[in-house]
Amino acid sequence: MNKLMIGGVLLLLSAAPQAMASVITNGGFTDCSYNGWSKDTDGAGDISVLDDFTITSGPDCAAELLVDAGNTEAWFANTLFQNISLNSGEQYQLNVDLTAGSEFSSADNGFIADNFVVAFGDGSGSYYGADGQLGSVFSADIDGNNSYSLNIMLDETLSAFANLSLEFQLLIGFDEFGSDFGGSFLQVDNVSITAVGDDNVAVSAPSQALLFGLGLAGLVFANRQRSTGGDQ
Amino acid sequence: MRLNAFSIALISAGLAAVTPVSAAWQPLNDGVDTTSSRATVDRVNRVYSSVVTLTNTSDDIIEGPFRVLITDSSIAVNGADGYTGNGVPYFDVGADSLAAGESTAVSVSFNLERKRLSFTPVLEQDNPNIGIYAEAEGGADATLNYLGMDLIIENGEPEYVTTLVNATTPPEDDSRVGELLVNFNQAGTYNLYARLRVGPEGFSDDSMYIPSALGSANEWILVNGISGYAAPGEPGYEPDTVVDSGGEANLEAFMWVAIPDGEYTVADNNVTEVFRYASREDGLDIDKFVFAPVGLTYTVDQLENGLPGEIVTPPETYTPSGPPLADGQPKFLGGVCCGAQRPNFEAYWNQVTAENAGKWGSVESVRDQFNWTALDEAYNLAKDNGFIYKHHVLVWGSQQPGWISDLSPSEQLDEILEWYQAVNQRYPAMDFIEVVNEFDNAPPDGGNGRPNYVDGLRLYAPEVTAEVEAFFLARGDDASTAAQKAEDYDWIVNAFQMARDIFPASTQLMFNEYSVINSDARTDKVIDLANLLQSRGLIDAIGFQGHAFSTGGPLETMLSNIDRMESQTGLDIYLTELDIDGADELTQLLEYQRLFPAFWTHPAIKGVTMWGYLPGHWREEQGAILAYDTGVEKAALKWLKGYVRELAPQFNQPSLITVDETTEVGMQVADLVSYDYLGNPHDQTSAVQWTVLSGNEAGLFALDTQSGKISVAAPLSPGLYDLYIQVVEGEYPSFTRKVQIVVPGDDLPPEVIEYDFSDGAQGWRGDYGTSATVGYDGSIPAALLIPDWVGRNAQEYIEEISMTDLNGANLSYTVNVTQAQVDGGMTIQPYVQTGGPSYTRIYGQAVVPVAGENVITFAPEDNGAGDLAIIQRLGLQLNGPLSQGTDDVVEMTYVRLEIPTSLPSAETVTYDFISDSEGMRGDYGTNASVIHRPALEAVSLQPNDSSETHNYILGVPSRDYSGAAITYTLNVSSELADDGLSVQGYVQTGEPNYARIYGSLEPLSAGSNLFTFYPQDDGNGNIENIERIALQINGAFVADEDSEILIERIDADFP
Repeated sequence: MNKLMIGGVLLLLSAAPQAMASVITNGGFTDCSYNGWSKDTDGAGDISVLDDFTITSGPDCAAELLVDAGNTEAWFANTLFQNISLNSGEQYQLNVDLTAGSEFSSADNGFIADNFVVAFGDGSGSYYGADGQLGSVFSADIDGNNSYSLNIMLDETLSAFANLSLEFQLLIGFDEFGSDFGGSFLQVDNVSITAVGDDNVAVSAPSQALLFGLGLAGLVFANRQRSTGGDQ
Repeated sequence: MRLNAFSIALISAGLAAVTPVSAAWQPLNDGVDTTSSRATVDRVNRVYSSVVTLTNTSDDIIEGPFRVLITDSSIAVNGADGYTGNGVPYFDVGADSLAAGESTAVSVSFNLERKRLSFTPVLEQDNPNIGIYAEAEGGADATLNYLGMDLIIENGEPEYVTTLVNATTPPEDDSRVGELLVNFNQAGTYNLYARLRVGPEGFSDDSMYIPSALGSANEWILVNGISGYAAPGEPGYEPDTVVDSGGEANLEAFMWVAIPDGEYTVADNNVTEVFRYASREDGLDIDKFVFAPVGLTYTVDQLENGLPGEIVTPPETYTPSGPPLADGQPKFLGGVCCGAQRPNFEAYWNQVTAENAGKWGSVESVRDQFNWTALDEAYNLAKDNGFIYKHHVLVWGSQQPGWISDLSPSEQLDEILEWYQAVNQRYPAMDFIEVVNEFDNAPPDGGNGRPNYVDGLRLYAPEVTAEVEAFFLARGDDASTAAQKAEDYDWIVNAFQMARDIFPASTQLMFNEYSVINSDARTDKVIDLANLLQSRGLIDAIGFQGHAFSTGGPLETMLSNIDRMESQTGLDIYLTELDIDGADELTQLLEYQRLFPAFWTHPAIKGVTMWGYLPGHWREEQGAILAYDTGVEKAALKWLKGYVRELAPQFNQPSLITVDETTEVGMQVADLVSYDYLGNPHDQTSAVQWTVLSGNEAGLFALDTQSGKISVAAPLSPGLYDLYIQVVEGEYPSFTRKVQIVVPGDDLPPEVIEYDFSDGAQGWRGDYGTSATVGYDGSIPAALLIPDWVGRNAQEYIEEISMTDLNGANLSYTVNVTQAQVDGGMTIQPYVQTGGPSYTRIYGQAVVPVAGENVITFAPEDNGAGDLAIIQRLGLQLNGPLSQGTDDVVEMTYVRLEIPTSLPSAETVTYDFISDSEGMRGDYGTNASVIHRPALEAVSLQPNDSSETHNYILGVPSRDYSGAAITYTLNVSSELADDGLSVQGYVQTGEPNYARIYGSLEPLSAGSNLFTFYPQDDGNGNIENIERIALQINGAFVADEDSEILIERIDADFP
């Protein structure tokens, strides 16, 4: 297993956390389920019966997406998303804690980085960034393990989308011949989109979930490596 | 539209092909930053998606629409908005424009494949300034809807449509019609261009039909006499040449052609229009059409490469106001009319000659069918405005009816008489007739393919031949010479006799010839003929043509020959066809200033006719026009207006100005003085404008536009700087003066004239009378010396330059030759050449080149005749014969001429009167004259009748005579010693005031008299601008060979 590495990125930290009402349902996965969320594998919908989408075990559960591993079904990407609605005239802030990790890293021969994207969807397949323009909120290659805490103000133009969704997509990286069959995970937790000024929703502390998730990931990859070895 | 199975099949094929798109799309590489995001999986559409972001990094708005082409993609594109003509997928960009700093993005999609997605996005802009391209056989923005059975698609590169059928009437069915469906994405009006190739038969291969309008129903417009501009790879290709309705009638070479009358309107955006074309003559190959938005110009390169044209800035226009320049003056200044030379005629010229319409071949090209239309216009213009009408021409060896040579002499005579009588009947009040044109250069004698009807003329009075012979025998010619002159001139006598018999006495008869005054020999012929005709009362005036190829030589020679014509015939003289040219406006202006005043002020010259002044001029290519289509006048015409109207301000020629190299910036170095047209000095309140026309490109000096003060504008370096300066008051400029400023120092840099061929062949051409031609290859860049070795072992290429003294000069040519040319035995020989009439060459050594680059240097040496001082052409000659490499061209990449700089210094200008009178003459308005005495190497002064004063003048270049000393050497016959004669030297300015500065009275005694005159400033600045050295004899005297006053020599010493 790769050496555990914890990193952090804090994007657009606009203000100190404050109490706000979120438009996200079950953003903290507090019931240790995907209630309120939708899952998609390769654009085919929620088809996976393997470990593409799991919930990390308690006490502070989180969503975990997995690709390119032996116990996954995705050929291209797994996407976790939730339809949302933003009121025009209000300003919103997105908060989310992410942890990504890979079985292999750039220190390994043949490593091909998987990657993940956080974006808003418009229902037609196009993705948008926090500025309301085509693109994404955040994306990164997964090279070893890293954690991210996003705290981002959203542009009001997003409220104009009738079929807006918040999406977390974990993609398999390829070279010209295929993937490296090295699994990568993306843990998603403490997701909230709150109107700035709301005062009745608490934001959970990301650090505990981050550490917990990383430990789980290590177990996942240990299993996968054994499985791969058995195939050979 | 008539459809058949074939056309339906084509339609189907067209619809199944790639989506037609406009060729107006072009890559937008500058000013926009293009980035693409990592791929995401579009779970809705099950595709990969990437976002291409475009950011305008320029300071200007960029107008769309835009699209992003996906090139080099590792995974197939999915859901493209369209495909280019080459099948490249693209996605439209929503933004109509991008402001400075603005970004926009477009999502692009690809199939889901388990491989890395990579691609190169290419941003394109739909530039409205790019034409719509329609391949004649279908393609680009057009699909072929129908091709008539008589049309053929020739495969290859390029693919084109041609025909084997000649049918010179408009199509009555679709058998030779091609029909295209052309996609226009923007409404608007379009001009039609075409890429065409005329076959080897030229006039029989150079026409087609275009439609009067877009659509299935149209009238046909004939496009004939197709000419254009060479396409890449063809001889004469010049990428930056603007394709207009002119060009060359190239044969067997694709060229870009601006189709006259090809203008079409498209009413709506994004429509497909029917465009039909039809063949006429076989041998015309039609590659493609371009519908280009109006209001733009396109170069060959832009049309070839689908680049946007240049927006035509509305041209400055000018409408001159009359009256004619010479209105109210004792001599006329006329022009040719009509056609292209008609606009604004009355504002400039007060005499009319028809350039071509009065030639027999123009009027009666078909026997007994007379076309007077154009000639009527010219004649009526003259009569309606009270202008003098001079007919050009009755008898000539060019542009005559093709049928005349096939007739018997008696039939010819009948036709000639009919022609004369027809002209007389239609134009009863002609002031002048040029009865015979170019009697020596181009007689109608059948020589060199000329028409032959001199025998018809001789029949009018066969006895004239013997009479002419007798005339010349009586004048002292030997029998052989007299007989030859009888043969040469008898038909001319008859031509004039017929004219005298038919036309009214009020019509003056004259002949006309070129290269007269620059040739002593031809002047002799003119004098001979004039005297012959005058002896029979048949001639009233002499005409000599003033084309630039006849006037480029030394002025002294020309004036001397005019004087001879005047003094030896007594006839009025007319300068009939003046067209002074120049490679640029300043060159033309300076040449006008050099020549025109000398002709205009000559008392024997009673009128001048400009041989055209607007585009369409027969020597437009040489820069002979005086105004543009817009009416805007060139510098020479602006000057000419003021000069002839005598309303131009004056500006005295300053002496050499010496400025030390260390002179600080801002220091004044000269204060130029000007005067109004009456000679009153300008002051600070005068509305004048000083201008440097040339010579200050380095910005070393500053000329105050109001005061005329010159100051140092930048750190100086040693050199001789020639600033061409004029002052303008109102609309009239002064003479342009060469103000010389010398910054002394060692090794003054030479004057350099160089040709790097970065923008074309720069005037280099094959010599006239040869098949050698010069092309251009901008990719090298080089002028291509294209030989034609068939029947000729020397290939000559020349560049015309202003008359230049090349003593001490160095000339170098850099040329690339092929191995085959080297192996074939080719040598290369530089030369320089004088102008006409002798066109004397001074050659360098023939050089055996090596394959590849050769630098051939040449330091020409004078031939002993002084020709090196009057060089007007640079030349390069390829010598053969070649055993191989005859199809190869020589690439001339650089030519450099270095002329040593010599500072004006103390000098003596001597007039020794050894070979001729050097321009010395009796003053205008008097009967004083001079006779050259070759045996005495002197001029004999002939008295001004019985007057007490006799003035003799010698025209000299304008110069400051401050500090000069003029020494006269006279010889007085002893018979005149006791007549109490005295002499005064004087100098004189030019027009309008002709101010004189006299020296003291010197008594004349028998024998040699030598006296020196030191001109002094008269307080009016006249000494700075002297144009005549003169002397005045005081006291009455009679001159003959035994009793005369001779001027043997004049020396002018300058400090």
